[in-house]
Amino acid sequence: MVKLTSSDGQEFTISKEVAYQSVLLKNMIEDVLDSEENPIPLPNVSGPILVKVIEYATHHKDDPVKPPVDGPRTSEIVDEWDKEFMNIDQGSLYELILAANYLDIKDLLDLGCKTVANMIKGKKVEELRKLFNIQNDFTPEEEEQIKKENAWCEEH
Amino acid sequence: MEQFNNLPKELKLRVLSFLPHHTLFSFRILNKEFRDLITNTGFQTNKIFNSYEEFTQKFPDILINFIKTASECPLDYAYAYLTFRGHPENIIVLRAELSVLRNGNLVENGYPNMRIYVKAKASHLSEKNQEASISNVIQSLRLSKPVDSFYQAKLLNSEFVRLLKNIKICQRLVVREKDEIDPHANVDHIPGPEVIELFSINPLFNRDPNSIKINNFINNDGIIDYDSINRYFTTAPMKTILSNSEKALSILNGYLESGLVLELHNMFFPVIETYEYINGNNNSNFNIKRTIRLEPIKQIDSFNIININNLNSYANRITITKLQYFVQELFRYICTCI
Repeated sequence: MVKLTSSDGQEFTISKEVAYQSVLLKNMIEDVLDSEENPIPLPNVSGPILVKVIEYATHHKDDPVKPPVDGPRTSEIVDEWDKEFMNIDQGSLYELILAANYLDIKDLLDLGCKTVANMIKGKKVEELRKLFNIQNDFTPEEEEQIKKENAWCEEH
Repeated sequence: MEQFNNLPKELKLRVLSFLPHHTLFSFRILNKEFRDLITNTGFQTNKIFNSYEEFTQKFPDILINFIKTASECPLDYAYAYLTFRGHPENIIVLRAELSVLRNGNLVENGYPNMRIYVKAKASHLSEKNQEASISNVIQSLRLSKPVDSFYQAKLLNSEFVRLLKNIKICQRLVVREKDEIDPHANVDHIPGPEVIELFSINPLFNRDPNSIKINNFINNDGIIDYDSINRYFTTAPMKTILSNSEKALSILNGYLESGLVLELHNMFFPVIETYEYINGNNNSNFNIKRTIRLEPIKQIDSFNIININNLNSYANRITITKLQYFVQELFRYICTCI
């Protein structure tokens, strides 16, 4: 078993099998032989987010290794459990993405990124600015130039 | 609460990499940060062609555009090339380069190292296009020569032929891309646009994840250590050419002597190696000048838009003719190379 401590001091005990979903934890466990006694501190991951990460890693611990994807990347999420798992508020979603990146759990990271990509798809520019609180800092001339440059992708 | 806008750049890019390109490019309009993020990042698909034939069969329209556009010396396209960099999926850039440093070929009002880029757009990869034959491509070009004689036409520039026939690295086309296959590859590791590296080798990737940071090449005084960069990132084919034998070197000399500058873009690190021929004091003495420079993150402002069609001096006509000649040679080679 492996002990983890979140940024807010919560302690979690998980199996090595679950922990090994994270490349970071795998490396740390191999480096620190007595991780069963000394908890591994995760200062970048809060307790509630670590709960989500552990839930994901536990669910997917027996998954076979996925072959490399051939062809263009898509944001489609096939697994129904994954879809339901990502049904969380935006703030938690970004925290989860950051945690997955920190812990180096590629599948969870991609799942988070796909979820955000799906939020983006189909939205107009103004809707995106509102959704992500992005300020338009272009001058009218610059904006016109960008639109001109983007004209190619509107041809088709 | 965490926000999308606060995510680190690499995570934003990762999110964007899952978007279809129409949506992706609409992000350029959001604000300056996203414009630069997308413009300066190689958002590409993987596409490696194992032969010119494969390439011409899949993208005959590119060749048509390439030859037509190049023969008109479209320096205006240098700007388009840069603004369009980062296209996903459907833009491929073919690049023809001509040194203007040689005696008699100096272009008036041009940069000494002016480069000519030719952009060609593959708008789709339809079934119809995949079945297109090279004969149709040639006919579409309305060339004066019949197709048969075109196939049989000799390449006239012996140095060019020698280069193409002898340097193995020319046998494979590579589109610079975001490399999804390599586990170390990350969306922001590969700068620049997709480019068919006509004179480059297949991936020159050095996938050592610990050596990718430019900080590794900055000394304690904050100065970039170009010698270390040089040693580390000199591309494999150039190492071979430069160190293997006199024969290999003479091939490179022939290439460079024909007036072309060889520019290799390292696909892993923003380093560009440039090889060019420099005349010595007497004609039998020549040197190859090799320079290595870092590819600037933002290049758009550094390019001039020059249309040499508007420059009608004798010297410019020579340059234009030389470029046209080069492109024709190149095209013949592409059409006939298996």
